[in-house]
Amino acid sequence: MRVRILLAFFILMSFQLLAQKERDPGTYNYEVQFIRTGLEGTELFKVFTYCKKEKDCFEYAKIDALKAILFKGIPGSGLQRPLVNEAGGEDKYRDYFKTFFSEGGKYLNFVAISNDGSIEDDDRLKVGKQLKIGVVVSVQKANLRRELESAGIVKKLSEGF
Amino acid sequence: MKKYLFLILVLTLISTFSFSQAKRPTIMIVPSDNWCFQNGFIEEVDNQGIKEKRPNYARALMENSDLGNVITKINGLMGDRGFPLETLEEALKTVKQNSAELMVMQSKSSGSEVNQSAYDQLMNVVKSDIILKLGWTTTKSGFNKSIQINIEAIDAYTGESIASQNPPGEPSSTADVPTMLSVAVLSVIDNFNSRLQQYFDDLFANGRKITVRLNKFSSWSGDFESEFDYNGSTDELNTIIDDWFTKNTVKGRFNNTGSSENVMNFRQVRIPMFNEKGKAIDAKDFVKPLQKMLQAPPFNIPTKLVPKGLGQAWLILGEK
Repeated sequence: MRVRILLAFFILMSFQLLAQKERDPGTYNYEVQFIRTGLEGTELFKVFTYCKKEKDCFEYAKIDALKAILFKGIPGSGLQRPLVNEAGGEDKYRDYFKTFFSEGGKYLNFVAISNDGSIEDDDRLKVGKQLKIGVVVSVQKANLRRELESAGIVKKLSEGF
Repeated sequence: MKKYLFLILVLTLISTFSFSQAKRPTIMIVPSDNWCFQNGFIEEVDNQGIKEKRPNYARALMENSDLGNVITKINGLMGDRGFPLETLEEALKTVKQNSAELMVMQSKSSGSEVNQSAYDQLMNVVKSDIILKLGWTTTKSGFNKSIQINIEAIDAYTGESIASQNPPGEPSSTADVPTMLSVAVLSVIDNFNSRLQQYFDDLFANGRKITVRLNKFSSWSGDFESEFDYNGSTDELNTIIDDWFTKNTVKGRFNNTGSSENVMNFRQVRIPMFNEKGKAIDAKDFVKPLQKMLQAPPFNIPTKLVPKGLGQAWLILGEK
């Protein structure tokens, strides 16, 4: 009997752990503001993300910044048009982006938390049960474009010639 | 035997592939007229009695190190995207070599010297398809200064603006001008290339834009209003040529911008990137079948085809 209870407990725990890996749908909102262009193909953005735990906001900020660059474009920045400008590109290359954005995935090569992760007081807000935090991230846009070009998702400028 | 057959197959595939590549447009960067005037890189020339101010590219490159640095930076970034630029410095050297020849050339009718602007001379030497015009302005406000860069791509043959960027620069009190210029270039290059990409996409979807000019030698007795029996009907030559353009352009798109008995001008002529054999074509290749048609019966008109770079061709009727 004791063994069964223990087994049930472990099964429940493992479900709980798996559930924690999935992002809460309520945290999919984000806002990205362009800060400035750095030297050698980097751009700085402030990403406001929603999370329950502060450390999650840092991870979400990296993913959200890249998603904005890839699929939306960021007004005022050097990437006003989305990098993936093919209509329906997000769906067409779903498998690639699933792997790209997976835990420890390739996306980490192109984005980093800037300012040692320090958050300004005005950029830390409580919204309902969630935190809204403004995190500054640095994106290596030139390397990101090269990766997408070699994966055949983004056309090279010289393609067809 | 099998080995040879395999080798022939591979070579055929390679040659087919290399022929199926469209001709890559060449790009050259020059300082904009406005930037040259603002920075005093101008020269005054006498154009048949009229004094004109023109940009002096050679002096600008020699005396303004920032210009050379910005061009090098843009060249590096464009090379990274598979589009290395034509070098302005090299082109100017060739212009200098040719200028002695130009000095002795005179007009047949008036005896006046051939008078070309620095830009015209450059275009004649380089024959670039796309010209990037570059300039920037530095603004000071208190201790801060900012740089606004201006970059515009122009189709050298249609004169059409393809892409342009001139966002306001980030103010800084510490950064030096070369660093600020470098950042300004990096901040515009992706949006700029994105526009360029749209232009190239349009080329592949709707065809390359070219300009065709048809003229006649004064020695030829006929003109574009001469009538011919062709394909079962009698029409003026200009109507027959117009029909030829309708039939041979992509989606029948072209603008006949002016026709008279002596001249026909076609702009925005959309030609396919490849012919039926899969070979990439330019303005000269496109006009060649028209030349052949006019040389054959019932027209029997000798013609001279003068290509002007990839995007422009002149067909002169009446002589070879």
